[in-house]
Amino acid sequence: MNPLIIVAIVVVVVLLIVYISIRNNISRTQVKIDEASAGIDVALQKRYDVLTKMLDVVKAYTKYEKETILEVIKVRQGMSMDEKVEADKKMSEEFSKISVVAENYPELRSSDNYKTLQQAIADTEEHLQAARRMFNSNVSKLNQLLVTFPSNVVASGMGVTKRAFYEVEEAKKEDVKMDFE
Amino acid sequence: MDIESLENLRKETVRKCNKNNMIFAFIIVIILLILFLIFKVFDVRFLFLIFVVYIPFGIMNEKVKSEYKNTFMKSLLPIAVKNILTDVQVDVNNGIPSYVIQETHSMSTGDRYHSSNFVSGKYKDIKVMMSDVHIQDEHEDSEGNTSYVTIFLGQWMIFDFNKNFKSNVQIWEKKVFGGISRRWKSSLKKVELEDIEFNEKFKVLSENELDAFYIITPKLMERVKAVEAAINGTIMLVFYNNQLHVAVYNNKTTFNVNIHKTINFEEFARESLKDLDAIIKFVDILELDNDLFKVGEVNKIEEPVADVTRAATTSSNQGIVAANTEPVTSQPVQQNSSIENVDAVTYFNNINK
Repeated sequence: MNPLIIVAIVVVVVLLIVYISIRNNISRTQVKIDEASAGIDVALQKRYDVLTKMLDVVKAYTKYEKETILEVIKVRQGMSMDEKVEADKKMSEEFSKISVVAENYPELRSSDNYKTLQQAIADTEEHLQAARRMFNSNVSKLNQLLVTFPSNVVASGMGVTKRAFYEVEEAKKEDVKMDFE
Repeated sequence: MDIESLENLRKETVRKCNKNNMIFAFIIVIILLILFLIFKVFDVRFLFLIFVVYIPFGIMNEKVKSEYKNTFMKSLLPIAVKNILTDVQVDVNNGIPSYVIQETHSMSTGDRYHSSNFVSGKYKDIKVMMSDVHIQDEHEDSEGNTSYVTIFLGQWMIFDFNKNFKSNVQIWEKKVFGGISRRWKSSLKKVELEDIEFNEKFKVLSENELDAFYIITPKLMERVKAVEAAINGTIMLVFYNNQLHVAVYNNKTTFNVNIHKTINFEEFARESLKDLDAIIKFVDILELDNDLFKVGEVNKIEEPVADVTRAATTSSNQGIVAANTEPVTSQPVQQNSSIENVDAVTYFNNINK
């Protein structure tokens, strides 16, 4: 066989292997992003459950409209990233309000249930942070593939576009405002 | 046992060793003389005979020295470190059993496993355990000669960890442990975190990527880098079963007691604190005493999951003395008082009940 043809075949095979490898890498990263997004859902649901229990405890001491609050904060399957960010933000606001209210009720603050739930809040926050970090890490990997050669060529052929990071709300970056009214 | 009694014991130990050595020398001289009279020539192979005859005497000497060292450590260590460690338990002859390390799925325990100088106690209310560990692999060359290569020599420590988690997450310092980790066929997945410097220095393996991000926060990454810089040796951390296991590969053993030197308590106390330095640094730098995420008694340390029969089998394989079943007790440490102590195997058996 003509050596040139052999070389051409080898080059084509190598290019094919490289293409498949890059394509698989992009697909794997997309799956990891979806997995991380699911992790955020789980963490949000946990946080929501803790919030529900916290409201039950607070209700025993003050007039706190649990049902109204839970209506406003919606956590469900298949939320978009913006909806998740919104739910996260609203839950954080509610937790802050509860802390402030508890300042006026020493019996509430010293109850074992309240203390346990305070620790549970901190733990769920840690889990949510971990899920966010994992999500952002995988989004970063995908976005890097989309801007570097030759993976950007393969990605554009697959129709893959950049994904948005899970952004921390601007309000969260500020110092917590204590409102005792 | 007080220092005066220990000093007398030390002298008695030295006397026994010297007596064994003199008997050995006498026997060797007699044997060499007889061989010379028979063969009329001094053969180099006779040196092999010296080695063979020395074995039982060497074993007797080691046994006597080891008994002294155990008594010495049990008497003095709790007092020497009482400002740092409380509830101290010591067992010089035994260490962390190999099954404990095997269960972390981190490091192979090789073809030869030896652990000794087991110390446990509490530092800043954090339960800690430490022992020297020596792991070797057998190699056979093309001519059939067997040799042993050390794959780990250093300290293995176990701490309470201040988070609840189910996964197995490992941080390997790439420098030396990279080679060992490759040899251990791990089913764990590699995880890349956000800190580039951390990723360059360490390899992270985990059953579950999310748990790796949960346990290894940005703050913990900074602290691991800090503790790596502070510790002499190469480190590996395993977060498993609500505990933190730490391996420090430094080619050193701890609590080396010299029977030929007069006992100096101040010097021993200084050296002991140096040997416990790694424990102190890990707890302080990693802030293991920060119990923000602990939820009551549920977060108390869950001990390595293993059954007693496996421990006994492992012990017999390694020639460790079989355990008694007396419970571990801890008493306030006072000068010239001895606290009830148990060997390492009993300690781990009691934990697993």
